[in-house]
Amino acid sequence: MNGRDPFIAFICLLLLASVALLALWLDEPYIITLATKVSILAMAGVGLNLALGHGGLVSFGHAAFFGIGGYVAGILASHALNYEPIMQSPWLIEGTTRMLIIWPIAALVCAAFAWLIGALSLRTSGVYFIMITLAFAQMIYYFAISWPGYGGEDGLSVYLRSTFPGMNTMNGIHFFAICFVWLMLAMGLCSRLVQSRFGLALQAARQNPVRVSTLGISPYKVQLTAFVMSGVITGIAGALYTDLNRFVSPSVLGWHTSGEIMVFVILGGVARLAGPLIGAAVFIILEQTLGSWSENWQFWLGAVLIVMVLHARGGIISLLDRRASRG
Amino acid sequence: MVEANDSADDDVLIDVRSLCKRFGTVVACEDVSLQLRRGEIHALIGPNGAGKSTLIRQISGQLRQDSGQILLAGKDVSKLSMTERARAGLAQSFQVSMVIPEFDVLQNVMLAVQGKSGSTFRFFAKVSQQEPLLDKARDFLAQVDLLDRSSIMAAELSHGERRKLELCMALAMEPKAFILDEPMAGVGAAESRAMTRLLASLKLKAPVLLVEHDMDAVFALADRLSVLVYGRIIASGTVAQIRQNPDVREAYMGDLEDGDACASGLEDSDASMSDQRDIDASMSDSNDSDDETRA
Amino acid sequence: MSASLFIEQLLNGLQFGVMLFLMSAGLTLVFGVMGLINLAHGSLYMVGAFVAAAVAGWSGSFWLGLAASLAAAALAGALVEMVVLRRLYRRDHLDQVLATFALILMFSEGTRWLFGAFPLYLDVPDVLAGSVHLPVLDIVYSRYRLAIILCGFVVAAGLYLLIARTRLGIRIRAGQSDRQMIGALGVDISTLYTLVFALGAALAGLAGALVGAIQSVEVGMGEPVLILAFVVIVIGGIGSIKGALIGAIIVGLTDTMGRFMLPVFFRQFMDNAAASSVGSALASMLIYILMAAILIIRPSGLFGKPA
Repeated sequence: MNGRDPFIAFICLLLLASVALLALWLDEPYIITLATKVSILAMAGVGLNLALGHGGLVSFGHAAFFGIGGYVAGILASHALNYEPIMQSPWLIEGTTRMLIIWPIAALVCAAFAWLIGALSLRTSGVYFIMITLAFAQMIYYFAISWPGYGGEDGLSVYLRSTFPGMNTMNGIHFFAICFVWLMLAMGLCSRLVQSRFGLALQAARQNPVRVSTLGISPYKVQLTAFVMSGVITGIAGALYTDLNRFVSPSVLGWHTSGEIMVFVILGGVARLAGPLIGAAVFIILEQTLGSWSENWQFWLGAVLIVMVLHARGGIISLLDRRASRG
Repeated sequence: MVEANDSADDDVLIDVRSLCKRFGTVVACEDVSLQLRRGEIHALIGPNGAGKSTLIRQISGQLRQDSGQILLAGKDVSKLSMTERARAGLAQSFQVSMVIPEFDVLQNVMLAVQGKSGSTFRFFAKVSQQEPLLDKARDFLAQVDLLDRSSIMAAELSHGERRKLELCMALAMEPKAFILDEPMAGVGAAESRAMTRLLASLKLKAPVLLVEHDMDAVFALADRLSVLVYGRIIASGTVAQIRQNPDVREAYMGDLEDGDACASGLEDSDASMSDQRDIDASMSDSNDSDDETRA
Repeated sequence: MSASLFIEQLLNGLQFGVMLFLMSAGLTLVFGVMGLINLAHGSLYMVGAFVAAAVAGWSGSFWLGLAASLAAAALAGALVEMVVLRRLYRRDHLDQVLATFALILMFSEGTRWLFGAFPLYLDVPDVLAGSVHLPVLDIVYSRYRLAIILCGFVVAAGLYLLIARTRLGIRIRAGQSDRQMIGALGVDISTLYTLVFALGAALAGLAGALVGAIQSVEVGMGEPVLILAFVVIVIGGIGSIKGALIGAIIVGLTDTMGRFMLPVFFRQFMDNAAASSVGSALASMLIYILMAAILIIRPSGLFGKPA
C-alpha cells in the first residue's frame, strides 16, 4: 500500500456510488445492475488481492471460493424457496433466504475450504503454488459439473433474491447498497489488516520468508491465515453474485473466473487498496463498450489487456497516481 | 578434542552433541560437538568447504541433522523448526544479507520486536501507532547507531549498514544466544572497526557463536576458537592454544596454496594477514554464490 | 468386464497420455528455458486443429493438413513470442499470466471470427481408417489411435535425440541450467528462444491436428487440454521432458481408467444410477487429487529440481 491509497480508494468508491445514484435518477436500471456487478467483482478482487498482492500468494484458484460462496447461497435459498429441508435426520436443517444467515454460513464454509486448500498448497511455492491452487479449483469445478444434485452442469436457479431486514432486495438500488457496503467493509478491513502487526508480518513473509522465521514468526501460519481471510472475502462476494443473477452454475467455479478475478487485481494495481475496484470497473466498462461496438469484443479486450501489461506496469492505479503526483 | 562435557550446565547456552550430516556420499558434518558458554564469543573457523555453513544451518534449524542433538539453554531443540528455535531464544544473522528489502529500517526492527513478543496475530490496530513497539525498535536502532537511518528503505542501505541492521534485528530478539555467520563479510575497512566494537558488545547480552573469515576480527574478538576441517572439529580452545596447535597449522597449510601467508597469519595478525584476507574474501564470495544457487 | 475391453481402455488412456505429452513438452520447455508461464499454449493447439481441418477440407489431403497445422502453429508461436512474450521473460509470473490470458481471448475470438462458430471436422486418412486386429487377446483397436500412440513415442524419441545430441539441444540444456551463462557463451538468445517457442508451438499444433480427427474442432477446445498439460508438467516436474512424458502417461491412464473403472467399482455397493454419478464425479476429480497428492509428497514434482 501507498500513502495516498486510502484517498484514491475513497474517490473511487464515491464515483461508483455516484454512478449508481445518477442511474437511479435517470431511471437506468441496467446501469445500477452493472454498478452492483462491479461492487461484487471488486470485492472478490479485494479478497484475492490480500493473498496475491500483500501475501505474494499467486492463487489461480480463487474461483473455488467465489463459487463455493455462490453455491452456499444458491443451495440454502433454493431449499427454502422449495420448502425442502436440506437434511431431516439426525437433525432437521432447513434452507433459508435470510442473508444474515446465509453470509455467515458462506463465510464458514469458504473458510473451511480455504484452510484445507491453503494448508496443502502452501507446502509448495512459485509456479507450483499457482498450479496446485488451480488444480484444487478444477477439482471442485468438475465435482459441481458431474454431481447431479443442484442442477449439475445446468446450474441452479433461485427465483427470488434472499432477504435483508428493512430492504427490498429485488429493488436494484437497495441491492446495490448492500453490495456497496460489503465492498467498503472489505476494503476497510484489508486496509486495516495491511497496516497491522499481522500485515507487517504478511508483507515480510512475501519478501523473505526465511528471515521472518528466524525472527520467531512462522511464515506458514501467517500466510495460511491470510489465505483463509482472502477466501472468505471472495466467498461472500460469490454469495452476493448468486443473488445478483438469481442463478449459480459451475461456470463461476471455472478457471476463467479465477483468471478474471486475477485480471481485476493486476489491471487495477497489485497490492493497492483501490486496485481491484478500478480493475473490475474498467473490465466491465470495456466489456460493455467493446461489446456494443463489435461482436468479437473479447478479441479487443485481449488486445487492450496486452497493451496494458506491456506498457502500464503497476496497473491503472499507478498510471493515475503518477500523473497525479506530477501535477 | 577438548570438549566432552555431557553435564547439563547452566552456563552452557548452546550445546551441540555429536552432530552428523551427510549429503549423498559427502560427509559435511561428522560427530561435531561444541559448546557455547555464557559471556563468550566462540569463533568457528576453518577453510572453505569445511562445513561451517552446514553446521550453522543445523543449529539454526535450516537443515535437519542426520543424528546428534542440539540443546539451547538445556532444552533439546533438535526437532524444532527454525521459527520455534527463534522463539526459544536463538537469534541469527546470515552470510548473505537478509533484510526485508521493501521495508524501512524501523519496520525491519519492529518486525523483530514483534517476533520476540509473539504478537503477530493482531489484525486491527495500526502498527505505526503502537508506541511501545516503536520505542523499543528505536532503542535497538540507537544501540547500533542506525537511528538516523530509520526511514530509509532497507534495500537502499549501504552494505555495511545492512549488516548493522541485521545485527540490530538479532539484538531485538533479545536472544539467549547469537549465531552470526560472517557478519563482517564485505564490510569495508573503515566500517569494520565499528563492527568489531559492536560485536564485542554483543556478548554482554548473550554469548555469540561466530563464523568469520576476517582473522583480525576473530583474534580480536574470540574468547575461544573451534577449527572445523572436512566436517570435523580438529581443535578447540583459546586463541593461544589454537595458534600452537600443529594439526591446525597443517590443515591450513595443506588447504591453502599460499602456506606461508597462512602460517604467519595464524601466528600473528601482521601485514601478511591482508593476503590471507584477500584469499578468504575471494573464496567466501564464491561460497556466497554457491549458497544462492542452493537457496 | 472383459480383458479385451480393459486393454482397449488402457490403449485409450495411453493415446490420451501421448497427446498430453505433445502438449506438455512445449509447455515445459518454454518454462524451463525461458521461465515463462504460457497459458496461451492451448490456443496453439486450437490453431493446429483448425488449420489442419481447414486445409484438409480444402485440399482433400489429411497429410497436407497435418503439415500445414505444424507450420501454422510454429508460425503463430514464433509471432506471438516475437511480438509479445519476449518482453515478459524478466517480468514476474503475474504479468505473464495476465498477458497470456489476454492472448487466449484474442486467439479464441480471432478463430471464431475467421472460421465461424460452428465446429469443423477432420476425416481420418484412408490409410489409417478402420481398425486393426491385435493378435494379443483378440483385440480390435482403432488404427488411427494406434498411429497417434506410435507418433507420440516417435516424437518423444526425436525430442530426446534433439536435446541430447544436437547443438540446439546443448543450448537448450544450458539455458535451463543457467540463463545468464548461455549469453556468456555467445549464443544468440533471442533466436534460441524464438526457436524453442516455435518448436513447442509446433508440437501443440501437431497434438491439435491429430486430435482433430477424433473429436470436433471448435473454439475453446484448447483450454481443458491446457489445464491437463499444466497438471502433467507439475506432476512431472517443471522443465523436465522426461517428467512430461511420464506425467502425461500417468495422467492419461489415470483419467481414462478412472472414468472406466470407478462407476464399475461403486456398483459393488450401490445402485446403478448412484454408482455412475458418484463414480463419474470422483473420476473427473481424480487427476487433480493425484496432482495434489504428488505435490504434497514432492513439492517440485517427480523429476523437478527442488526449489
